[in-house]
Amino acid sequence: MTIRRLRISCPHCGVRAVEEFVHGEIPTIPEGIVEPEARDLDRAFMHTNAEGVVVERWFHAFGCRRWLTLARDTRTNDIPDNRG
Amino acid sequence: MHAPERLHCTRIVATPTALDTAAWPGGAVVLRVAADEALVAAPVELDVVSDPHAIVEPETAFCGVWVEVEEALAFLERECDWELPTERPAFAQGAVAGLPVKLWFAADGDDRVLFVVPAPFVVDFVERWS
Repeated sequence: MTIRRLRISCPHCGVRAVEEFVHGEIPTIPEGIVEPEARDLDRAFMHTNAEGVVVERWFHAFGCRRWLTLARDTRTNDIPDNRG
Repeated sequence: MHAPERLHCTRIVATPTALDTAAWPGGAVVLRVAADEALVAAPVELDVVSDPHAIVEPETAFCGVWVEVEEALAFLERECDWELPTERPAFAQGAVAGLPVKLWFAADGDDRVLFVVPAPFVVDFVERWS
């Protein structure tokens, strides 16, 4: 299995290195956690870090300064439907 | 390269259609930084775009410098790892020398490139140029 250097295709700016972006995880909080404070704690600190294809948000800080959503395979850095 | 000077721009946030059809001041450099945002290197009237909810504000957070294209391309070849546009005029933006830089390649016949850098990074930009 080959891990690629992560390059992201911004729909406005084009293909750029990952260093131009800020990662924004979409938090998923287990339904079993019901207390509001516990949910806040889980959202802030318990990153999922799943193995496989995950849907993520990335902020193009060095370019258009817009968020984009993409699906990335965390094992290979493959991004389906991404020209990067 | 001369030191970048403060740009007196106008930032416009509006619908993409309104920006596509706007009548910009003649000769002004218009940087389409996002689908719904433009940075115009000139004063712009509020009614320049047809979007009634557009935000039109003066913007002085950037500095810019025009550079001869040969000198600019030599620098970009060294400090930019993404593909530069080949058509002219053209706008591009991204990491150059590790800084967020906007580039405006002037139309054919005007062999210059405008480097637009956020004002706080001007010192770093000048250092990395030399």
